[in-house]
Parts: sequence; C-alpha cells; structure tokens
Amino acid sequence: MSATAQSERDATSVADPSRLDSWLIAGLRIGVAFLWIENSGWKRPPDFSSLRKFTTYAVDYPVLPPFTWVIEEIVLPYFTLFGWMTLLLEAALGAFLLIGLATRFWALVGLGQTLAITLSVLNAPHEWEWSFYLMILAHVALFATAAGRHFGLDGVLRPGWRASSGRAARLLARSS
Amino acid sequence: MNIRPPTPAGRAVLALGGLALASPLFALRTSSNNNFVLMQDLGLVVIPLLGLVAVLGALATRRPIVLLAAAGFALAATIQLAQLGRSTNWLGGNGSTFSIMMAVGIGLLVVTLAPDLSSSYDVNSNPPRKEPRRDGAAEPS
Repeated sequence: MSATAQSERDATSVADPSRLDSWLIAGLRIGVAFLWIENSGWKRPPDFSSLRKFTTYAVDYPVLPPFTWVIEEIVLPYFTLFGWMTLLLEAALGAFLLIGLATRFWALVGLGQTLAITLSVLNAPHEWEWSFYLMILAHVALFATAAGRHFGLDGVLRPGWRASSGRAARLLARSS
Repeated sequence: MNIRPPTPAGRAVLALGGLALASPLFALRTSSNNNFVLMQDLGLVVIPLLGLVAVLGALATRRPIVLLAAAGFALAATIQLAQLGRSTNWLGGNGSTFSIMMAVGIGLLVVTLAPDLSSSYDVNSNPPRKEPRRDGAAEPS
C-alpha cells in the first residue's frame, strides 16, 4: 500500500468512526451515565444526611476559599433545597447521558457538577484525587466525541433537527 | 418519526423498551455498594411491563401504544420522586430508579413525537457520502 493511500485511509478512519469506535464511545457514555444514576441513589430526602456530610467537607477541608464561602453562607443554610436540586440534577444527568439526548450539553453539565464535587471533597481525607480528575476527563471525552451520536438518540434525531429551521431544533442540534 | 423497526427510531424504541425489560437484572446486585439501579418490590414488575408495552408498540408500529408506555414511565417516575424518602414507597426505588424511568420515558416520548424524516439514515451504519465538489471548493460546514 502506498504512503498516500495509507494516509487517505487514516484520515477517513478518523473522520468516519468505525462501528467498533461507535460501540466504544457509546460504552463510555453509558458507563458515565450509570455513574450518575447509581450516585443519585444515595441522595435521600428529606434530610440528605450523606450529601450534607460530603458538602460540609468544603468547609472543613477547604479547596477554594470563595467556593467554601458559597457553601457556608448559601448552600448549607438552605440545604434541603440544595439536596433536591442535586438529586434532580444528577438523576437527569444519568438519564440524558444514558439515552444520548442533548449529550454535549449534558456533558458540560456533568463537567460543572464534577468541578463542584471536586471543590467540595478534594482535600478531604481518604479521597483519591484522580477519581475526580478522571470524571472531568470522561466528560471532556463525551463532549469531544459527541457521544450521543453513537447509538444514542442524538444520532437518530439530529438529521431532523438539522433539517429544521426551528429555534428549538437548532438548539438541540448544537447541544447534541 | 416512523417507529417501524428497523428504522433508527424503531430500533431506538426497541432499545429503550429492551432496557426496561432487562431492568430486573439490576436486582442481581453483588453487594449493597454495587447496585447501579435499585430494583425491588413493585418496580420489578412495573418497569419491565411498561418496557414490554413499548416493545410491542414498536413491533406493531402503533405510535399510541408507545406513547402510552412513555406516559406510564412518566407517571411511575413522578410517583417515585414524590415518595422518595417517605415510608410509603410503592415502587421500592430510590433516585437511581427514578433516573432510569425518566430516561426511558423521555426517550420514548421524544422519539415518538419527533417529526418524521423520510431522508433519515442510520448514523451507525453507513451514512451517505457527499460527492466531492467538482470545482474543488471546500464544502460548507
């Protein structure tokens, strides 16, 4: 095989992922989805006691002083509301990543939530810092690969969104 | 969308319904710390049953049946959310169970209600290739 042909083949494989590539990307997306799904299970109303314990780490073992101030002055006094918001956010993250709908948007949301978790517990004892770095990298990978287009609903619905001139469809196309 | 398998939308409905049908497997947890999705009590029956309705709706190409399944998942998810942390928990689930039901319900709803697109193709098989422009100019992105 000539060098030119090999180069063309390599370029094609990068731009046009193989079926195996698609399976692997979908596997990554579904794995990250189950990370959020399983972890929405232990956020239990009405007191969200376990979540409160981890959130308090942001005050007891501060990582970034402004974030600690927000937790101490805004989040902890209204913790029930914060607990419900966290539960709904993480359940939605798991749900949308699992079905691959608006995946790039939810990858960014997951990145934001991971940063919030990191800033809460990074300096706490018995925490492995690379678990948070890996979570960040996993969400970056979901965004970069537009993972919902591989065996996800983004892949099914995106042609329709792109063909539509509606504002919602354009927004969904961008978020997929 | 055309939900008749093997269209992409039809396969999506089958996959979503299949996930719900297979959800009792989550009850085979290996430890209390490794359950992915909490499945027990009435949830073990309701979720796969709704999944079966969705699968049958797709196989029969009956959009209202799939919509009925989607509405069932939405109702079940709402009940689960309302009963989280309470002594009454009909479906026996937690946030993870709510998340799964939300996923399947929203997925079925979105796929079923999306406008039909006759030119849709399966991105996971062989999307049609664009012919290169003869004037050598780059295609607009």
